[in-house]
Amino acid sequence: MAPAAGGTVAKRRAGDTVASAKGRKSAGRKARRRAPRRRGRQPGRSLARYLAGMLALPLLLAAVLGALVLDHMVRERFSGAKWALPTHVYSRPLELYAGLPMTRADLLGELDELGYRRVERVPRPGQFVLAGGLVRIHAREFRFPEGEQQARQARVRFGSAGISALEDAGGRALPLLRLEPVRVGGIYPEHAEDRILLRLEETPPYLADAVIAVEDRDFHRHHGLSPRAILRALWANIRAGGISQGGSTITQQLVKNFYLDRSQTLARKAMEAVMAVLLELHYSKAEILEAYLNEIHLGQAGNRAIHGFGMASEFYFRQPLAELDLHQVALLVGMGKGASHYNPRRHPERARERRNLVLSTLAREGIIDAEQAEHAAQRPLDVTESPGAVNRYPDYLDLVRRHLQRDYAARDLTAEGLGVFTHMDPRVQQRAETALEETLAQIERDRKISPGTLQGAAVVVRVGTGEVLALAGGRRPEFAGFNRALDARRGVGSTAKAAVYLAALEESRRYTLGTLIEDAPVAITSGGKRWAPENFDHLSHGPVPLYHALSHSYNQATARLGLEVGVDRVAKVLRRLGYQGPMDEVPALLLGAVSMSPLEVAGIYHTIAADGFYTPLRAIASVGDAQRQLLTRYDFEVEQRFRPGDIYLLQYGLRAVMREGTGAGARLPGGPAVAGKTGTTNDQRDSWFAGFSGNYLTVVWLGRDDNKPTPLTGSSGALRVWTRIMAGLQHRGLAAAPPEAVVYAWYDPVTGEGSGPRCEGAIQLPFAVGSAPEPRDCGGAGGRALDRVRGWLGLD
Amino acid sequence: MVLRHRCRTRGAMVLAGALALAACAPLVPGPGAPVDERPGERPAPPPPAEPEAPVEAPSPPASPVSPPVAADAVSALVGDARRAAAAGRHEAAVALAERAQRLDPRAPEPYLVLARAHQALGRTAQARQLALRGLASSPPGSQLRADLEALLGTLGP
Repeated sequence: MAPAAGGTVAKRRAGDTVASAKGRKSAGRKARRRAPRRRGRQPGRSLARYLAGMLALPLLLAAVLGALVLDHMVRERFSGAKWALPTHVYSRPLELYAGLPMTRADLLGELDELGYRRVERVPRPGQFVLAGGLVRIHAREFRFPEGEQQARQARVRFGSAGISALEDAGGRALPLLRLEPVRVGGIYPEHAEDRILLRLEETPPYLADAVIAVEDRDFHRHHGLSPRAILRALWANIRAGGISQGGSTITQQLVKNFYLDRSQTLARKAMEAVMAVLLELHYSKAEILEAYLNEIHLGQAGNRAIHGFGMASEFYFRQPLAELDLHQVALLVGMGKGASHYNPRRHPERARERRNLVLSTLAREGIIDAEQAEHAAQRPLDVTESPGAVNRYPDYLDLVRRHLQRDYAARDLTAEGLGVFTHMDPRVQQRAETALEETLAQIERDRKISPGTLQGAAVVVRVGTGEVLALAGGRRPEFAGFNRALDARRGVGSTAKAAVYLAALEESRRYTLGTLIEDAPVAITSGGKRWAPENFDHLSHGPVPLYHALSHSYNQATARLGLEVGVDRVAKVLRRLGYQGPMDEVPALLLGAVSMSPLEVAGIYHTIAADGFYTPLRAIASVGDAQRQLLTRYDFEVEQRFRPGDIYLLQYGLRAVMREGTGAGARLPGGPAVAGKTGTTNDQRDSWFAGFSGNYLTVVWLGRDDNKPTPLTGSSGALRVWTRIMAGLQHRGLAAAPPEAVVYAWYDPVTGEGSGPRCEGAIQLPFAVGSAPEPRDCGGAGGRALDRVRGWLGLD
Repeated sequence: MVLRHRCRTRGAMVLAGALALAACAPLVPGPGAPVDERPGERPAPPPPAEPEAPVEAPSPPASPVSPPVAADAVSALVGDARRAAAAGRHEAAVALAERAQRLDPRAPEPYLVLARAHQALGRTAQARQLALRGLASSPPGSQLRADLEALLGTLGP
């Protein structure tokens, strides 16, 4: 559009000088004609002539100058980028394929988000048909920054485990169907005008005709001003006894909205008239109409103004403009008279009357026939219950904005109409928000805590890709505010213990999961301060296997282990896991004396969940310009930071947390193998849980904004939210088969030594190759008890 | 609580007899135990001591390996990515292979395609890391593993 407009401007400039010259000439003639009339009426001819001469010249000059200034204004604003366009932010596109564990209800939810309409017969793009267990979808075309995707039809069949088959319209198996992404929000300029630019040729049938019929019947005949319309309005106003109708043309209305303020002075009206004529002089009717369709104000969402029919269509119908039917087009056209007065969500009856009036006008003007008008008038308003294209996920958008600010100037983000394609999964996002909000309210009721005092945050990441699928920064997700998921840096407590055990397990000659470590009082002086951690139950538990100390989160055993391994090594492991923030290398670090945001904790645990491969967490896949040409791609990056075997052993310990330790209360449907770690800080100010399955990692923090104590531990607080989020997702269990560097061996948890399949109390435990204990043969059942006693007494 | 302290030494455990040993058995809540009834960070008693029979709970095949649910979709995208790479469109190959990776991050094929595309784009360090990632989830003895190892050989240390 821009080059065409530029070309027009260049062409018209030559004529412009001629027109201005003509203007000057005619102004001069008028001045001369008027002078004699005045002369005839008044005595003192020579004086009058002299005065007239004195006045005429400056007036003439002022008029010419004024016209030139207005002409410049008209052309300058109209020829370039007419509007500062907001950045639009999209979710991930949903990929459908046979085997996807997705329910029919979830698919219908996604189609609803995308504004797909359910129909009974063969669907058009943006529609679907339900036939028994089958969903027939006609996916829309969509321009991704990586390339155009054509509209296509597909049939989706569901089985008990999700999508059982995906076929094309002819019934042939289709490997994949990608739906277009959901527009989940935007980044707006200061004046908060939101619009989706449309071209005249993209508008649905009837729109342009309807706008002309309703707003300016003489549009194609006048030159900016319509004397007939003014007379018509005058007559209507006289009959009504006040101002009931304006005589403004579409061109005048565009000038008024585009260039001038809202004041109703005579001078402003005069300027409007002159500029309307100038605009018509320079630009074609099509260009003026297109600008009008994009400029018109059609609604308000908080402080965000909905401009143009493109955005209004998304806002009221959650559909692209091109898909609208006659009755929807008529509704939007009718709203041009007053978007607030005819708001179909607030005043449906008023909006319906107005819409039907537009329909009868169209019939009267011969644009549609009476039958069409009648049929359309019978249809419901079809407006969606909740507005489309609103910032429903401000916390996630906050993350997107911060990532974008690394590469884009603030002005580009609010003016260039960029398209940002994120990894956000609206279904997961909604689950995370609901789980956080409802579980916090439930905990407050259960624990008799004053309502609203507990806060929380949650982050969900796809394991292996590091894509942030959901991020909730507090309760009441619809309001942007303090984003705890990014900005609440709180003590992480025992969630940091994973680093201590990983540091130990990396020294496979010294430590295995079966190494007995002493859970006994420990006290050291560091930096002049005495440090003597206690267990949560104020007890000591004696020698315990390493995996058990981790799964039960024993502080004393962990402190002893960490001091043996070295605080500096544990700190290095935290860095390698991905933590980049401030950290004091003091013994208390071993028990989590380091403050992190939930997103940072998610980054660390992602490295553990992804088998030791570090990946920076990502919110954005790519950014496209206003034409959706690729500007930036944010590729997957990966770096192996740990040996897979060491991570497997740590994951085993974290699985024991869920099986028999502090996370054992969590139950997920289907019982997938999951791993995780609780965290509780001093006086229970913070309640953490970080845990993952084979495909999802979720981190939850709960606490109070004023940092006062709560009655919650990691298990009784954050784990409840975690369970609720994870229970709504379809999981793949953690890999059961160990990497090559790991073997399973029989082990006796009491002696901490090797055992055999027939020995009492023996369990199988994974070990790094070369570190497994010697096996024992306990013989028959009779020998077992004796063997055990001999073992305890050290008689072997 | 006294009993827990007794668990500290082996001699004491012998003397305490069956009662003490029972108290030291692992606490395993029944399924569906409400989360808030858990004792929080309060640790359970120490490890199993005298169960009736050998406990095999933490044995390796505790959970079945999930089937590769997206195999056909991954293959289709990997095929598209390979064709894009063959036509010299390496950025497009990266985008397609990442779509495949997203469907199943444990499938090794997309990492091979990604590694080759990054190599072609001159990003050797990233290519190497991607090959390592693919290697970590490729089955021993497979052609894919051989391909990844061969690629790693060309990427230097």
